[in-house]
Formats: sequence, C-alpha cells, structure tokens
Amino acid sequence: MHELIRVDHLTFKYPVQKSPVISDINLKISQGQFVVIAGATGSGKTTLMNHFKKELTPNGHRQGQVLINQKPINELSKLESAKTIGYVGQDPTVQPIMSTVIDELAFSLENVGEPSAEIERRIAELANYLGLDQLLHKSIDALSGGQLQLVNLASVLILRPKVILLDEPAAQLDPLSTQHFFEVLNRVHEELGITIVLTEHNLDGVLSLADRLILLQNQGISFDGRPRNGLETMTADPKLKYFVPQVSQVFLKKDRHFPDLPISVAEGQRLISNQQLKFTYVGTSTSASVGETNVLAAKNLTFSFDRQSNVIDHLDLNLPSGDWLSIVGKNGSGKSTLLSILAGLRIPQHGKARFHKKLVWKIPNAGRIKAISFLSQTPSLQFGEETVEKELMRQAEALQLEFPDKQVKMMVDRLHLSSLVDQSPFDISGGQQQLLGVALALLVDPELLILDEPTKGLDPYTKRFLGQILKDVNESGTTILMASHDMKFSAEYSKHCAFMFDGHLNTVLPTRSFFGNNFFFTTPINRLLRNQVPMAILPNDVNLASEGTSKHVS
Amino acid sequence: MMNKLPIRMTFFYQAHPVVAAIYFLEVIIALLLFNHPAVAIFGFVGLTVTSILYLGSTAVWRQFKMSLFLFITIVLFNCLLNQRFGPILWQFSVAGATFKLTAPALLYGAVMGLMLVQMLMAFGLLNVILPPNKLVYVFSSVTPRIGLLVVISANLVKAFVRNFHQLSMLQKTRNVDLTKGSLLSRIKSGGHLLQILLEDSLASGMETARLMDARGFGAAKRTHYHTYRWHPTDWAFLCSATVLFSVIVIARLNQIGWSGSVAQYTNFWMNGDILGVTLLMGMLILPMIAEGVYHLCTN
Repeated sequence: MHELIRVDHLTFKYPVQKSPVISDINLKISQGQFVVIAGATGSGKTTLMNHFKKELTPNGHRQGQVLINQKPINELSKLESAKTIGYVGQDPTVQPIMSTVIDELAFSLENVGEPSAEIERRIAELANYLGLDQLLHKSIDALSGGQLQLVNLASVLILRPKVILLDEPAAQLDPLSTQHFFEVLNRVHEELGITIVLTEHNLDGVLSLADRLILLQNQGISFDGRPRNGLETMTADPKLKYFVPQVSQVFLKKDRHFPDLPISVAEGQRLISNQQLKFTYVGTSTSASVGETNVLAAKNLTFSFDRQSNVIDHLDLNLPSGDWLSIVGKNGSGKSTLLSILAGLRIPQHGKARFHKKLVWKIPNAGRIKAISFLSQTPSLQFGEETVEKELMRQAEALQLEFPDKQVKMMVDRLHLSSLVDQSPFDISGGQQQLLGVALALLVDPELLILDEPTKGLDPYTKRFLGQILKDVNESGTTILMASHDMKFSAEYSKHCAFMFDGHLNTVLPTRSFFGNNFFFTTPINRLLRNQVPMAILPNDVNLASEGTSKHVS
Repeated sequence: MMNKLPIRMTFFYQAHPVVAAIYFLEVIIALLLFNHPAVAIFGFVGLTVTSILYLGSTAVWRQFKMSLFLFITIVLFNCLLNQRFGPILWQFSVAGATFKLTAPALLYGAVMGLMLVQMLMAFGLLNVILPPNKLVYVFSSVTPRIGLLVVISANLVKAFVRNFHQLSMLQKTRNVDLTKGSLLSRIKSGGHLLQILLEDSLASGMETARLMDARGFGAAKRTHYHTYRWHPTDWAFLCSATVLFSVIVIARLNQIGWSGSVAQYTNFWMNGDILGVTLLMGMLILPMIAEGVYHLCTN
C-alpha cells in the first residue's frame, strides 16, 4: 500500500517543559487506513497528530522528521498541504469563518483558487453526499453542535484531501450526534478511500470502525496494530484499562479468551448469538437513598431567549437532599439554560425555583455561592486570575473560608493540581481546566452542586478519578444536579436520571430504570444485553454464565 | 387586509443582491430629491404599503411607533426655530417673547420629519431584503479582501458580545456581579471582565486563524464564489428601476417637487407635484408590481 505519512525518530519537547512529550516515535501510515490514536491525557496524542500538518506543527524543540508522500513536511507548499491533509478540531465553533453553510464550504475552495463553476459543482456534489443540502443557506449560528461538526468535516472534505486528521471530533457532541458523525466518517473512509487519523478518548463508538490502533504511553508507542489486539495491552495497564470499550470489558471479565474480541454492540451480539452465551445479572438492586426534604423545587419554569419560542417550557422539578440527578438530552435541548436558572444565574420569564423555600435568584450572590456551587461547561469563563493558585485563593476569600491557605492546599492535593499551581488557568489543557473548575466548586463544601458537562475533555481514567471524588462528596451529603452527554458516567454514578425534551424534563427515574428502559440514550452494555438482562447498564452488572458451545472458546 | 409574503419566496428577496443594492441606492437618492409635502406624504404611503408586504404590519407598526417620536421632535424644533414666514396659524407671548406657529414652519418640519422616517423605513426594508451575507457579497465583488474582513470582524463582534453575556453571568459564581454594588466597583469588575474576554477572544481568534491557515488561506490567489445567479428578470427589474430613477432625476433638475425656501411652504399641493408623486410612488411600489408580474407568470 502507498505510504502516505512516515515519522522517523520524532522527539518533541514544549519550551516550558523539562522532558519531551513524545520521544523517538517511528510510524508509517498507508493510504486508506483508519487509524485511532489513543492514550491518557498528556500522552502526546494531539502533539503527534499536529506534526502531520505543517500549519499545525507546535513550537518547541524537535528532532527527527515527518514525511508526507515521501516529502519532508517542511518542503510541502501551503497549497499542497491544504489539498493533501485536512484537519477537524475538537471545538466545532472555532473553525467556521463565514456566516452561512454554503459560504463556509466555498471558503476552502476560494482559498485554493478554484473557479466559481468548479466551487459550485463540488458544493452540489458534497452537500448531497453528506445530506447537507437542506442546510446550505442556514446561518452557522443556527446549527446544532452535530450539524456544525459535519459542516466542519465537509469544509475540509471539499478539498478532496488524501488524509483527514481529527482531534477528538465528538468530544462536545451528544451520543446520537456522535454516532451519526462517526457513521459519516466511516462512509468517507469506506466509500472514498480517504485515510483517517483520529485521536479519541471514548473508544466505544469509533474503535470498531478503525483498522489500526496506536497507543501512546510513556512518551512512546506502546501498541500499534489491530484494535482488538490492543485491548489486551490496555487491560493490563492500570490507567488504560478504563479506555477499553465497555462491550469488550464484558468479554474480558472472565478468565477466558475470545480470539475475536468484540468491540462493538453488533459484534458482541453476533458472538453471543453464535456461541449461545448466557449472562446473569449481578448488579445491585438497592434503591437510591435520598432525603425526604427538597433542596430545590422548581415550578412552571419558562424561559425564552428570543421571546418567540421557549427553551424551557413549564418545567417542574423537585430535587430531594442527597440525590444525584443527571439530566441527559440532545445538544441545544436547554439543559445548560436550565442549570443556570436553577443556580440563580439567570431569571426565567415565568415560574419559580426555590432553594430551601427561597427564590434562588433572589439570594444575595455572596451567600448563594456558599450554598450552591456551579461548574459551567466552559470553566475558563469562570476564571480570572493569573495562576491556578491565585484563582483558588480568590475563591477562598470570596467564600470567607476560615483557613484559606490550608483549604486551598488540601483541594490542590485532592484534585492532583499541584504541578499546575503556578500556571495560568487559561493555558492549561481543557481537562485540567475542568478539574480546576471542580476544585473551585468544591472549596466550600456546598449543599447543592450543579455540574454542566463535568466530564467534557476528560480521559476515561480522569473521569473515573473525578467520579470517585464526586461520589464521596455526594455521600457526605451534597446534592448533585448534573447535565451530561456521558451516558456511561451518568449510569455509573448518578442516583436518578431524566431526559430533557421539548423544554421540560421527562419523568425522573432511578438510574437503572432510566437506562434499562431507554433504547437510544443508553449505555453500550444495555444495548448489547437488553434482550437477556434488561436492567444491565454497566459491565459489572453481568457475569458470563454459560461456557458456550464454540470451539473458538478456550 | 394585506398580508406579509413569505420573504424567501418573494421576487424581491430572490433578486440578485447587486440589483437589490442598486434599487435601494436609487430609492434613497430619489427620496432625497423631493421636499414637497404631497410628495413626502405619498412617498410615506408608498413605503408603508411596500414595507407591510415584506415585513408584515406588526413590524411596520413597531417601526412607526419608534419613528413617531423622532417625527414629532423634528416638527416641534422646526416650529420653534422657524418664526419668520406666514401665514401665522397661532401665536402667544411669554415674558415679552412672542411665539408664532406658522404654516410654512409646520409643513416644512413635517416634510423633514417624514423624509427622515422614510429613510429609516427604507433601511428597515433593506435590512430584510439584503441581510449582511448578501451585502458582503455585493462588496466582495468589488473588493474580496474587504468583504472577507467584514465577515470575520462581524463574527468576532458577535462572539465577543455573546461571550460577554456568558462571562458576566458565570462570574457571579466568583462573586463578581456587574449588576450589584457601587458604580466604582461595577466599573472595576466590568474592566476585569473585559480583560478576561479580550484574552479569551484573542486565544480563540488565534485558533481560528490557525484553522484558516490549515484550510489553505493565503495559499493561492483567492477566487470568489458567485453564490447568486443573474436572471433575465433581474435585468428587467434593474432597467425599470433605472429608467424611473433617471426620469426622477430629470424631473428634479426641472425643479419638480422641490422648493428652496421655507417661505414657499404654504400649500399641500405645489406646481408639478402630481408628476413627482407619480414617479416616486412608481419607484417605491416597483417591487410590488414586480411581485405581481412574478406571480402572474406562475404556471
């Protein structure tokens, strides 16, 4: 196969860091491959991938070289680079330049000097291929996160590149938009033969599409090969074992070996059917313990941004003390708006939200932040100091803590932020910003903790770490209200769940009933085993009971 | 009762942006070429009817309420400042100073007020028929770089405003509240938030620039995609508007619908106003006529 990208002894160190992020990397990527690069936060996935595109190459000390089509990347002209390598980033809102979809698609082709007739021909072809034809004259601002990321992909694809690089493209999308995005990406790979190189934390949806997995660990490549073979390497690692797709975890639990380990729901179901595997339910059935009094009670909440349509529409909610309620729903369904109202940051046009019988937005700010902590889905908008330490100290002062130095130090240790205390909160990674946001929210030991997408940008290991912290906080009496796209996290930690739809919350149900009865918005385990064990939502909920009949089982 | 047309289905909205831009330029100049009361009143009627067709009566009524204050202010100031000519309609004296309400002052003030209201109405209509993306398209044909710069700047400003709202809301969680406290503390907090916002916008702008670069910006001489097609009906509309506009200019050169002195404002109808009214009305309701022809041609 034609060698498209070649990396020879690449070592790279950022100017502010003492040790290299990646060291002596050797790699060849051939035309037509679908490569997933996985690794924990800070393992150098993005750094490595950015070296495949001249315009994205980071500043720092570099050794070794990268060749694109046997040509050193530095010798590639800007035009060659644009036409050979496409790039789609994590945040869908950062890439668009123009105000409508059609202009955004034309932008790339205008840059490379295509004539107007050719631009139109390509837009017509691509828009129909990707199903964007109905969106062409829509304003970019009016698109959902999923639609916007598709437009970003299209605006790169329209240049007909040989390879598309994607840096966690689904990190900010809801589950259904994520699934759709990966389906489109798979079509682009399968039908057009375009090489895909993608970094991703959440391997559940994407690993089954890939024909190659590269694991980054300890500055180097610890595994490079077929995805299902890499899963065993990952399982053996204390951090990377959390990256293993949940479907695969079910089959890795017993002391048995499946030569073709399933990595998708469909593969898992085929294996179960072929080998007549039986699973038994071993999950807990205890009901979630919550208090009898409501910490928060909302009645008839109605909110509209444009006074034309209601984002929140006559919404009622009672949140008992000690509960952990997760709200799930599509991008743009109004979850964040609801949380900001319930945190007293926004006043709805109609209805009341009371925190212990007081209207939440009428509680003086200084008092409210001592009882209600809020983590936004963009934590950087809650920052404002020069260093992480100063950020925490200022919050400690605002909260009038008794021993601010000591309490800040304890929080730094608890959230593993000690290596970041002197860094600017705006310069640290998205995942680290998320942890700093949590640290700010937990400084006070709040009665109500409101979290908007707390796992955004976190790798599975850090998610687990955060989950345990929040679990402890919840068990010590703090009520948690959370909006999340992360079905696995919600299934594992929350006590109740509700679906946000049409401006209101669908029935609040215990987590197991919620996911057990959902069909689309549910966990991979429930999708895999709903016929046998309808209430199973996590890998630990089931045990493989039968030995099966296949000779392939050893 | 006249109903608002679904805007995207109208002939006027579908006209080539350059045609619509030329038409609005001609209308705005034409409105400035006449200053007689009858022409101004009929011009106002013509614009109101056309606006209702494209914007709907609710939007026009809202605009009218906003313009009314402006209109009354201009009339009042004219009556106060123009005391010289007659006939006098009413007068009174206060502390030795005599105030005269004269017919020329009232009529001239009303015309000036109406002309300003007409301008606002014309721009209101322009805003709907030529939204920013179409306007940018018109400018891009002349100077593509400026067109692109306008789009990028507009997006940045939009993001800046949106982020400022978000930021001021979320900073309440840090006990920074722009709506509470003394003026000095609010100014201090506002300044602090602006600083954060500027840094954030700069970082986000840098990332956008990097991604523009990744999509080949500056790799070759930029071409321009002509999103809009030029149809024969565009020629027909443009020619009709330009012929009408040319006749209006000729009429104006012959002093039709124009007076150089306030003293001449004694009658509602003045010499040659019929022609001025007909031409201006024709110009203003031209889109409606085109709409009618467009619908007659429907199969």
